Amino acid sequence: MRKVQDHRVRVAAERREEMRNCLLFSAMSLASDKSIHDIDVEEIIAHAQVSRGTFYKYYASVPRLFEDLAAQLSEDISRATETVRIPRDDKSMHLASTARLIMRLLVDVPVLGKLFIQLPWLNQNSSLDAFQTLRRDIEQGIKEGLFEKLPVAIGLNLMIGSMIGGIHTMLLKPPSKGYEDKVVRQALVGLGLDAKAADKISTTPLTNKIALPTTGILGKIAR
Amino acid sequence: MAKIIHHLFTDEEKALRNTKDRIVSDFATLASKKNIESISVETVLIKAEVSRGTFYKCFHGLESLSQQTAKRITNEVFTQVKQSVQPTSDIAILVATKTRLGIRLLVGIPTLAKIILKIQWPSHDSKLKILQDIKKDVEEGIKQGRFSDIPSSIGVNLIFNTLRTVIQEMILETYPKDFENQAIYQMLLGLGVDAGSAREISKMPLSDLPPLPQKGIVGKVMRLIA
Repeated sequence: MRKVQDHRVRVAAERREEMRNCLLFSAMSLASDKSIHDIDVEEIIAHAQVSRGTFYKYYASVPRLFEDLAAQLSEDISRATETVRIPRDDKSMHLASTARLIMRLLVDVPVLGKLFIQLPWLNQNSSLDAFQTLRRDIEQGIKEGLFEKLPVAIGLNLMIGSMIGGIHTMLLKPPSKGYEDKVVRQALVGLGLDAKAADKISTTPLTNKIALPTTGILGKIAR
Repeated sequence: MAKIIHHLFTDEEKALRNTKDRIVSDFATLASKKNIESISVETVLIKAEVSRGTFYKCFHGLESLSQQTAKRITNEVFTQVKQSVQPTSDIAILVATKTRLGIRLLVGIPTLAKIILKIQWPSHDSKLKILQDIKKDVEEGIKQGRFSDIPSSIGVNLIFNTLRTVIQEMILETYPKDFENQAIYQMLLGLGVDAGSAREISKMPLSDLPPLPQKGIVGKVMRLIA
């Protein structure tokens, strides 16, 4: 016989998830106006309209909240990226297209972009999902001899660093069209691709955009 | 007619600036002795002998204090590196040399490096002299045709990011001896320098490391850890 599950357990879990999303969303909204280091508990609970006690039931401190937010967003974004079909066989093409799509998404949705450039990505944090595909492409590309033989850390820093810097510039003031393509082109050349191939790969038209999911925290932005 | 400002106001401003300087310098002292993450506001208050009210008048919080300390130290170290670099007509060599000297200097003194890495990046902070200088070099390189014809912000980002991440990777773990050369090589490629001369430049022998400034916050930290 199937075990009878107490509905209260399920409802409570749903409610907790909802509250967590609510706090994450408030943190994200506040981060688009000011530095994440200047945001305190007061502002978050005022924005989320919850009590201080509730906040601390979920998170020990504001930095913990932002860590959770980073992990959640990166997971959601990498899942959203997978829904866009990019040819996988050419590693350099896959790497470049993913990078360009992510940059476009983060610039199109400034709330996301402004938060992303403030996170300490390169501080031991690169295990985050969103960058795992980039890491795999770079590793494979080095193995296949597409890129120079270099430590993966250098390659990954080169690509992610270029992307984050590029997003920062684009959010500050809209630069010339195709700026993100130029950023990716230089990163590819830096990885050791010859200039001609890099030109071609970084300017291949991308038919699709990354669509934001309608559920979870990203769903809240779309609404 | 010029507005008359009561001297009491200007004095107060000066006093506040002095207090700010003192807190920054005391924070650097604390950071050279223990893990920068474990420093609390209370520790800073005791060390600098200021009240909580005064502290928050000067800084938003610990984060902005460590930001400002990091910026001050970066400016001091940068000025020193810039003065010691031999003038050269090849802009690629100039950029590579400055970056490599910066890396070596800081990797050799992890205490300083750890404070500097607190700098918020990416940034367009005009108080960071190093960014202005990199920008000037990149623009010159593009004009001379040594670098690709790219928006200068891409080049600035490539260089500053290399500097930052290489220092970070190198103080965290032990890396092969040519890690620095390799990163510089990849950086030069990214700027558009051809592979042959990028390889050569990234391996060029460096002159001796410039001495660190005796004065300022860096001087203070160095005396403490000596």
